Amino acid sequence: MTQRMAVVSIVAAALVLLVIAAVTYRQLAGRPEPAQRSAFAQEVDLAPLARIGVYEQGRLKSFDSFASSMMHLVSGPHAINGNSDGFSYLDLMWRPQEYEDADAIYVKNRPIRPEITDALRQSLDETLPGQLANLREIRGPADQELAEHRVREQFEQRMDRFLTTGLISSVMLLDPSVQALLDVKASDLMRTVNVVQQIRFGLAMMQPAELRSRLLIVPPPGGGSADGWMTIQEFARLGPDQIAEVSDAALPNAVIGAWDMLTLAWKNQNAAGVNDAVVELAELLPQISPALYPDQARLSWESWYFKIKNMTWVWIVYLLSVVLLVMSVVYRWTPARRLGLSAFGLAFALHTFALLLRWYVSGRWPNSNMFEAVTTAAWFGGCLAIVLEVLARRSAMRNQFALGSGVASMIALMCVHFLPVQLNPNISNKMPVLHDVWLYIHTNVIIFSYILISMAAVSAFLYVVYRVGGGKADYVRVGGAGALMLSKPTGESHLSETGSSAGQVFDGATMVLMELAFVMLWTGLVMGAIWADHSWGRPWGWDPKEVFALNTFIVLALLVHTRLKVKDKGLWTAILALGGFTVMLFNWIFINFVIVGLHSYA
Amino acid sequence: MNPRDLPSPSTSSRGPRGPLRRLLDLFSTIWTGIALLTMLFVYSSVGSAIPAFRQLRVFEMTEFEWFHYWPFKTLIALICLTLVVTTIRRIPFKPINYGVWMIHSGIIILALGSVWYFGTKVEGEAPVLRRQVLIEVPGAEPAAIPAVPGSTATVRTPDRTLRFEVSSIDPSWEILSGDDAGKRAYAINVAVQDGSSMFIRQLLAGYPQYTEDIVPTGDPNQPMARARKIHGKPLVNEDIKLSLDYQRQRYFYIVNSWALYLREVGQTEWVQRPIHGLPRYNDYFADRSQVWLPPEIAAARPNPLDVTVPAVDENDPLGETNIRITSYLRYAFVDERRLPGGDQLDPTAAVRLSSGRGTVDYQLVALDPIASTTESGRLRFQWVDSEEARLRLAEVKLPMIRINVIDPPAALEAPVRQTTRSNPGLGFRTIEGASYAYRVQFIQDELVLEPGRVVSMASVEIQSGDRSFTRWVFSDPSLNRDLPVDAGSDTAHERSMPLDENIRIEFVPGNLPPPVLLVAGPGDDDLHLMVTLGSQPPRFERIEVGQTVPIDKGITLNVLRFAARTYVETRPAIVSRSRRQRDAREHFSMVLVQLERGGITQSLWLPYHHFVFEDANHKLPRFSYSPSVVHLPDGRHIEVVFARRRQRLPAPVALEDFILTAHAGGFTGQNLSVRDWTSVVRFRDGDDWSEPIHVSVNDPKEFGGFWYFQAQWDPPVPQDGYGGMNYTVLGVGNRNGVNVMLIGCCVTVLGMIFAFYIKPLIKRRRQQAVYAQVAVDRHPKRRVRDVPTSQPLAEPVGAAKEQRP
Repeated sequence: MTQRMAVVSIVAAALVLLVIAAVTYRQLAGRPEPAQRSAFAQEVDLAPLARIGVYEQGRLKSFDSFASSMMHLVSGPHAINGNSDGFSYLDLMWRPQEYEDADAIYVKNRPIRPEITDALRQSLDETLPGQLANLREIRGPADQELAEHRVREQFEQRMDRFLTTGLISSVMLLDPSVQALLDVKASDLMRTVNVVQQIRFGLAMMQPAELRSRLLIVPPPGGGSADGWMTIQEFARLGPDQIAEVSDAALPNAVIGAWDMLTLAWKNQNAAGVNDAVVELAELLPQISPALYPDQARLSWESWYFKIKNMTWVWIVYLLSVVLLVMSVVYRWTPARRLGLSAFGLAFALHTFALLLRWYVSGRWPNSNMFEAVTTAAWFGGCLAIVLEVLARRSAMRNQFALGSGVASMIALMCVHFLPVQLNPNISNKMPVLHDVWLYIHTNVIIFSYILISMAAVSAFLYVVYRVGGGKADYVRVGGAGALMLSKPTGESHLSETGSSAGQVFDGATMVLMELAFVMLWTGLVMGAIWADHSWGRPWGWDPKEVFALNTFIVLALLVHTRLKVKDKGLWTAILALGGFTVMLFNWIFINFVIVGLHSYA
Repeated sequence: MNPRDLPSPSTSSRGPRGPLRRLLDLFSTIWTGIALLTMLFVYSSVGSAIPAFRQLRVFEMTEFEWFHYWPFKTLIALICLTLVVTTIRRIPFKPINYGVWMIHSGIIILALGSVWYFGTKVEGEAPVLRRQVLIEVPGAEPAAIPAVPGSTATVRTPDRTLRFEVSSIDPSWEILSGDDAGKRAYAINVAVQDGSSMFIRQLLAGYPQYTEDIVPTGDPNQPMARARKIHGKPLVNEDIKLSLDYQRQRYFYIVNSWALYLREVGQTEWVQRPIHGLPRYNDYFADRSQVWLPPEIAAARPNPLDVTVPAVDENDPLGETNIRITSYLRYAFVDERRLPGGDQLDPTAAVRLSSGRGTVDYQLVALDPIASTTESGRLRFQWVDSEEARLRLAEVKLPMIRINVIDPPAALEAPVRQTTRSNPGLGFRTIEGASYAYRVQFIQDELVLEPGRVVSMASVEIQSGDRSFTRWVFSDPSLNRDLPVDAGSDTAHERSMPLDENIRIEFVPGNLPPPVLLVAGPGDDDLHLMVTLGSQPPRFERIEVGQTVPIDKGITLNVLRFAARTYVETRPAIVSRSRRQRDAREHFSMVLVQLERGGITQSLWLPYHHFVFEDANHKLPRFSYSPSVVHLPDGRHIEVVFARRRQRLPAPVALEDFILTAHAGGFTGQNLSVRDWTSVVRFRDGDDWSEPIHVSVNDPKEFGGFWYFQAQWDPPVPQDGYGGMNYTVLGVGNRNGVNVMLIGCCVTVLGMIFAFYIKPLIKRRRQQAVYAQVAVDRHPKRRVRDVPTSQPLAEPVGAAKEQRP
């Protein structure tokens, strides 16, 4: 490797890391400052609630999982005052007055934030002089001006935070000027009605009555699995006949008593009382209908899974592996390779654990929503990388697959970590149409092909960097990239450490991955057509997602055929691999989120 | 892929190339294939990612139509041609090339299967109702009514008239007695009015033996009771025979199609006229005066249509009438609006409010209690018939609160200037001499409790020691009630709260004018504006039409149009694009149909119907049915409906049962609580019904060459007392050529695996053989691994020029 190329590679890697760091910083800077948690919040121990099941949309969740999904609707990705979602849920329910002017509601849409700020500023201009008129009379104009200056300064600081974090108080959102703005936006059904619905939904979700009505924690006494769960209040209103279904006659009153104790203690900020009541509730509730109650171990694991933020922070371990593997690729430095592969192995092990845990708590293989599709696809990439690294251990391509998978997994986990609003981690039931074995066949094959395309894009990107850095127009010379994984008849690798250039290595890795992606994508498309045929009665409906999966395949077909004809095969392969990656991303992001189609639930 | 590097035809010994050979050469090059694939990519991307492009007036295409447009077909044909010619001419058919041959052959097979599939594709929907009620009364013709709540039938015998109405249905009625106790059945209650007597007959699908009547008792505590208990027998009148039968569906409605349906009033069978060439996404109208245009296209040029809808059925009741469609509106509704003119006093003003946040237009009608007010009551339009009445408007009277505390005695009377809604920081006001404090949360005027009974209400928050509660104080004190501040915050608080009799509050409504009051009259051209901001006195000024008047900081009002005397005109109003529901599809479309016969032309607007029902009785919940009637000069009355084209099913289908499978916790109204929907259907097979067939999500079934899949269902509406599950909508479609397509796909997959993974193994084996041979020839005692590897035996991936097959 030339010195120049090494420098270019290092600069490119540094740039990538810089971008990642900038994104991370921006996200972290955008978070609200964790307010000083109250003594009560610090003393309260809600851990026993992890064993409580809550019914939500056909699924029995753990309390923490449920609270996470509910608070997600209110404060988006942010924790209110640095408290857990479970604490915030109960505090909002029992002490709503404390949150009237707290910046707790998340406004997801960025463009509307400055408009809300302007409306509030205009409202402040109108009301502030009147509010401070008394001050002028009593203390004089200087004090009034000083007070006005302070109010405006605080307002602007708050609005700055709002513009960055998206968090605003219900009082501000209920200001007539903001409501008038939202009314206007709500009338645009094509563009902005969803924005307003999200805000108003957040406002509604903060209401104690709404929070109470959703807390379905009591299983139906003596009922079957088709009978609905209920709130404590509904349970308290049950007739004698229904209550009689509970085996222990004293149990209903004990449950209601524990709940009332919890309510009272919470309102009085009595942490010890809350802790006692929580323990009692967690013990009593499952006894109402033991046969219907979900497995408590599963509930505990689910709570733990949400407490540790779905383990999406594993991206940091992947980042470490990527840095080391880049050094290994650039310098062919053995210690960096060993450390890089070890870090990759650790990241993959944690990733695998997170995946298996989600599988266990959700009761299904995780591939039913965007969060799961992204994380599972990345995991597939890790599995393949391990297999290819073993096969290519004597080839100069070694480290390429781990690096490709490391980068793809790191970005995937960063996406789900930093974009929890768009890639919602909550676990819910599948749509009825997804209850089919083809979900596991078709979807997994498709997302496998997507991660292959992503990994190929990494080596293609490295090839472009190599060429930009003055590398030779090298490409790998072997019939069928599959041959690259085989040794020569002489036992040597096709791409030996000493006899192959970086260009050949990057090109070889790209071709190995792209050819596999070519097969997997086509196979996945065919499987999707088979599923669509027996689900919707037609194999192909020209749905945007179908068309763009086909378009991705067309780009790959162009890659295969262009490589036959052009002279600079390596460069064209890299460009078209990146093109295929772009189309695939377009399909996964733009088509999923912007264009409504038959696959919009996926 | 290994295209053979043939010598250039022009340099071959066969002499100059002819046109056919040149053409073959063109389709033998990979560059042609690359160019065609690139064009296919661009075409697909534009049509799919930019729906607005294919929806332009010049195209007006659905996705399906865009991908069946001639450019697309041409591209596919050329790609197939290139594949065939290139494969045959340039890729030798030998084991090492089996992969590419299989890939290309598979794609050709897939294309042929697609031609068959898409060329014959028919797809639609068939709504199937669960049951109909057969009515047999001695002395009268048998009758039938569909089992839809509200459907009615009147049966007349020589001596009496009976009226039947389906009063309710229950899809999951639990049988409480008999051998089938505990089972659940589909129940239909039919109210029977026989002269002055009335009873309800309950029919259970599948259990005719449990048919029984419910009769009035005259006891207010139990108004209805089982006839078995009152009369000692299950049926009060056994002459009246009601039974259930399947409601068969004979048609399905084809997606993305149009048709007109005609019949003479009184007939039951509709006659169809298919419509071809009707646009889909844009508005077309012949004259601006035909429609109400939204402001952004107020100056749009007329763009008339001329789509002829010929008769195709010999039973067409308008067989000799020429029907043309001259307008099509994608998203519109019929609206009454007022235009200036006439003698009727009906003051109407179009007003524009502008602020930094945008502009909003309103039409206000002074004499209409609802249409005279907008902006949540902040802008009102009022007519005054005298100058004195106008001046009286400026007399402001604040609403008052009067409080009397019994023990210890205290009283207070105060105007309500602020509420917590207008000022969230408003504090409590202490009632001197009593342990109470209060503040007003909000005031609600003009609450309509029932027709003719309008009241005002103040919500007052009261504090007394540690306790606080809210009292709704009405202008009619008998309605007053107390509520906990945080209603239902725990189980104790949810219990009823008695009125605190120790404190009595009266509310006297004020006559606060709205912040902006537009006043017309007494003259037809008199227009005044009264602005009342905060506690400032009202500001009155005369204004003119078109004049921009400042209201407050940055807010202006402009009366765009005003007329004291107006008349009402009805036209379709085109809805602004920004106000259209995204998933509304064609459900709000309309056409203007012209019927021309004997020099007479009649026009009528027809709204879109998703399905054409036999009559209003058969209308399914959530679908519209409003046929328009044309009165012909020859005295006939013709019903006309605009809907989708329908096609006869291979056999009538009936709905035996509908099963909703829910997750744990039951159906909660949310789709995520649903595990599956299953329609249990039967097909008419000769003179009999087939065995029940279960059609559910991901499990379609075939009958008579068509596939049936679960498409829509009839969800319950608990707030309306409607149990739902009374009908299903089956997707219907054919799938000719699917197996051919599948074979093509599988061959392609196998070819890819061969080309990418088996071919290298074959080549490696050959190389090993060559090495072994070389080793044997040169160094008979050395092993293959020891042979020098400097020979350039490796080749680039798919590199044509370097390849030597």
